[in-house]
Amino acid sequence: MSALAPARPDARALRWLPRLNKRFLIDYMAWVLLLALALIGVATNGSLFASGSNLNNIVEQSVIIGLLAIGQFVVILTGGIDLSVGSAMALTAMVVGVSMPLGTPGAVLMAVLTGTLVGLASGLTVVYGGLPPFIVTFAMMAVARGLALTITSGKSVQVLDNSLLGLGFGWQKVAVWALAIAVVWFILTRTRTGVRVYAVGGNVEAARVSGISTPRVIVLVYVISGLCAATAGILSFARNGGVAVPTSGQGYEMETIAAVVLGGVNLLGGEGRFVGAIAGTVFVVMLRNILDLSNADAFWSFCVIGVVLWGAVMLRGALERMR
Amino acid sequence: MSDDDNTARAPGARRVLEAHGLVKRYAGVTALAGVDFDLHPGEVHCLVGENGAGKSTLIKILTGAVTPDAGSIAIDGEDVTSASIRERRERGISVIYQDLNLVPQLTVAENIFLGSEPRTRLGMLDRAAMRRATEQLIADLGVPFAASARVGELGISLQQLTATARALALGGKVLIMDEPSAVLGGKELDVLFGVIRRLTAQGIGIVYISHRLEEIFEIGDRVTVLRDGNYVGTSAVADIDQAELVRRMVGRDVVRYENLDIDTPKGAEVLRVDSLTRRGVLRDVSLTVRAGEVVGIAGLVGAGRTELARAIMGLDAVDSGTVYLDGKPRRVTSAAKAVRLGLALVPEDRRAEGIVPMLSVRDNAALSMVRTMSKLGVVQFRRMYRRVGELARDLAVKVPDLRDPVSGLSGGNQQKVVLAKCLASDCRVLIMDEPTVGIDVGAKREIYSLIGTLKQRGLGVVVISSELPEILSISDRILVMSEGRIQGEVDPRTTTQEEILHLAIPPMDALAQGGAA
Amino acid sequence: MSVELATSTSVSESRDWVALAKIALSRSALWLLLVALAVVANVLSHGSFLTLKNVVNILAQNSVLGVLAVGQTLVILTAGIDLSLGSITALVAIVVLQAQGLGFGLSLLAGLLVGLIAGLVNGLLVSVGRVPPFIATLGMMQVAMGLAYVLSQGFSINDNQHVGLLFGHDKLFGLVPSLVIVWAVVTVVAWFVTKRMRYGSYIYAVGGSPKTARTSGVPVTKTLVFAYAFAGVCAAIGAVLYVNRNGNAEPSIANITTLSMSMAPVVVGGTSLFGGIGGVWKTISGVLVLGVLGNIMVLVGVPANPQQAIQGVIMIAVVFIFVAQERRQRLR
Repeated sequence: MSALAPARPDARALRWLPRLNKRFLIDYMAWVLLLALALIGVATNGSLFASGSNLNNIVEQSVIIGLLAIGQFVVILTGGIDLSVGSAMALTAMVVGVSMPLGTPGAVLMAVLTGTLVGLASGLTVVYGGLPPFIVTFAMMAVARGLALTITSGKSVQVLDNSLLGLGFGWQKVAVWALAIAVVWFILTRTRTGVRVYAVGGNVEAARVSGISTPRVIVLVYVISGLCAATAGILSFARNGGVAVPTSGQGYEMETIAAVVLGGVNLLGGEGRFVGAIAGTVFVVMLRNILDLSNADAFWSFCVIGVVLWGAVMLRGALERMR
Repeated sequence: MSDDDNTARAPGARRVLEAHGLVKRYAGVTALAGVDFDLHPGEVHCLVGENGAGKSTLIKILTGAVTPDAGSIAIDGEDVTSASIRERRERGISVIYQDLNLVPQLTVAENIFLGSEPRTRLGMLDRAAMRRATEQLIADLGVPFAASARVGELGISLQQLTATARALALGGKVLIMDEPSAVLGGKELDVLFGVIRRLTAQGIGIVYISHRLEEIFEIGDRVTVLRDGNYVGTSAVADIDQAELVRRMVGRDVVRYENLDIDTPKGAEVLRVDSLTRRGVLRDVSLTVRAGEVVGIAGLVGAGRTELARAIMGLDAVDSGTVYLDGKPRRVTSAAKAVRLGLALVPEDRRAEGIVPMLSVRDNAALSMVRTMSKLGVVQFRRMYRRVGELARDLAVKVPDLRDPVSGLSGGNQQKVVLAKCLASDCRVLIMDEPTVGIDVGAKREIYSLIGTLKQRGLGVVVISSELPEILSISDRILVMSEGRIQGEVDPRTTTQEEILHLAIPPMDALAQGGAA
Repeated sequence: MSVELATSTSVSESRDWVALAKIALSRSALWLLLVALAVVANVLSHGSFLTLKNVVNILAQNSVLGVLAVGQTLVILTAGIDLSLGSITALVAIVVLQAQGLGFGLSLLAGLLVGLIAGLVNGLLVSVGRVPPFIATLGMMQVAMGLAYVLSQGFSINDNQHVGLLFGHDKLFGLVPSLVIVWAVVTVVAWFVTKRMRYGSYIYAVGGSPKTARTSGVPVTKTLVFAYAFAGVCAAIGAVLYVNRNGNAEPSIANITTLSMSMAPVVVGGTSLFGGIGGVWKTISGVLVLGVLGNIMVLVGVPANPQQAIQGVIMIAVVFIFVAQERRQRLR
């Protein structure tokens, strides 16, 4: 097939255009959809939607999903998936809650430790078990949820007066998200690890023959995802006013996958732009916001997220197959 | 034959690479039988031979991927016969395989330095250094392209150059290029040749493997011919002409494995393909097959033969053209429909597309007749397995128990199971894509005589094969494909291998014009 | 290749009773494990485990999961996965209860129809939409659960007109619960479909090698849609059993670990996650082993909450063991 590829230079020049368009469409899919959604928001709810406080709301509500989406994004870059982000978040929130007596730094440390362990467990099982990531992390989803429920026998934890509360609101919360974005962006674009993450997802064989330790890279991305979940757990604990709920975060894995796929990431790994994932996050959150404003049955938004996930994957697939 | 080297542009007697008496056997099959090979700095030494001549085994031995059973290899006079791939790479041997092992999503610079990325003092990725070094390498190649371009968005030619640059970045002294022209068009090939000339001028030695003889005369200094694992000889390119080279490659009288009765009475036309076109792959392909006729399709790898088979079977969509079965135009939109209409395919990649490895022999053989052996969706297993038993006996499938998994069988027996599957579907037209690849001689003969039997039973058979003796001995007519179209038809009784090769090799000027339909 | 043939011939020629015993042992290893577990449970419970009443009770307890796992088996045989079966069960349970005013027959029909549609959507997404199975069914998990909440507004709904599933009776001969009978019927039907019917053969072929299946003329798209639709209907039957047993249902039953993890007994039973190997009977042994294990956990006094985590770990451990075993076999 490739032997018959057109050799005329002008033919190649012409082939450039659709290619550029296809890339462009995939990279900016989330932004276009976000714009369209914002217009729909204005059209249906007018000033209610476009008010400063509502837009502020959307940004604030994006933080938790956004943090989890960062981890999801990095994992998917290697061609994996992390279905445990929501329950890992719930688990860390519970850990923070029960370890508050150790003091704030101790509690945060425990959260970081929890996130790291969850990520390590998933990553090591994927690499050395040779199991499909969705099975490993689906089981991890149950394990983390089970542990979250076990810690307090299913009850919530309340530590109403603590120094973490400030993190859960306003600019502090957004600042944590921004910091996480900056750190992961730095790793992906400014370190050799970042190049290797893309390389492992793009062509494992090429990465291996180049002397890259692919197991190390894969374990690392799951640990990054675990740490993002830990951060989200701390923030959700803070935002709830010092209450950790073991059943929180259900369905978040889906929202994060929808967000990053909308952002243009390839589920097979190797390509995806970080900013796209952020736009995808805001899209998902804004969609929920509009449904809320429209007084839609809160339960409908469940369904809508599932449909958005399907739509995003099929849309991206269709763009990819475009000639 | 002749061993008249040292005559051409070989600068000096120093040899950067030297191999003597290499022997390699795989499970009793001799892949290489005492091959000598050497390379001077700044020389292009071409390696030619038909499929299975032993070229890829030789490359693997040179790079250290395969250990020879006998013989020695030296780099710069030092023995490296037992050195690992890594050690040899550090000593300057690099290969650029057809499958370039690049990460399409990364940039040129990132690919070149993958695994050994330069870092700044702070431990960050030193993109500036990467870009500088890459630009230097690109300048050495003499073809301007951007270090920051994504490899997946580059044409195949620039991808090839990226892989070349990566080999050079490792400090390569010997560059082995495995059939670069298999994926490059005329203009792109010119670019590659320009690069090769620059590299040889810098003292780098190139081992150039190719099917296409014209290229050898354009770029090569010396040429070594392998045939059936044997070393035929090395000559200076200036001392040899194309006809002689073809003679050396082919070398033997035509071996007629089985004297198939070409004069079997031919029946009505069972398959007609009318100007089948698939953009960039197939161009205006027309052919007819009559009952009791074997039509051979010859051509080089990448000529579009497999693609033709897939298009007829409805596995790939076509842009235009019609398939007629028994004179009626049919829209074959899926393989399921093709099988219903009486077509069957023995695919080239037996392991991936011919068998279901974990299923039993009988379930594999029955796969295409499950539909006709069902009533109201319930499979009549007793009847179906009885038919499988008959077929297995007819085809002499050697298996202790038909319930054993098919993956345990030898290649030849697996192929017979695939054939049984096709025949079980009561097909009228059988398309066989490289039916004897990876099959030992005995099983080959059996498959040839089977084709003869099918012919007598009135099937129309299309055989795609890269083995010229094979296609010459079993076909009633031979169509030769190249560049996605049928270049001509030859009569196996009167034609020669040379004639077929000349039709199969696209002339250089046609390559230069290139362009898809 | 020729060497391989030689060895396989010699092995089969010298097939003596040791080899036969080995094969028999490996084929029935899980059933033996089940017996061992039952003995352990019997000791732990001071002899009250292996009573007819308790055995029947365990079968009844596991029948909902059992029916789901049977459906899951067909999907996994195609090298797919259905994460949505628990949610479809919840949705259908709500549908059946909301429609109970129409009478038992019609509400049952509505429930089966909903399960069928959900399965069809999954199958079409996977085959025509080319969405990876775990993504397609993850979406369905959310959609079905969302619909269950919409239809129930999150409340528990009671089954006001309990109808026995065996023509109005709940037990056969006053002993065998209707749930177990239905599970058995579903199992036999699934066995018949996979081992005796055309699409069953296709399921194994598609799971074993989709490319070979395609070139051999197997209708791959239809086969995939069939498998997911079958699983959807199984989930619907599971929902009917759930309602019958519990007398009520709420949408959060989608989160009951055993129901959402219906792939666990399938894999424990020995069906390969990579498709083409395994079968319905194996799944039944997997359900029973996990069921007895769960019963032992209760006997030992493990509280309910950690069981979820333990089941997750068990699943990974078992999958791990089986994948390692498969690899060894492939290397040989």
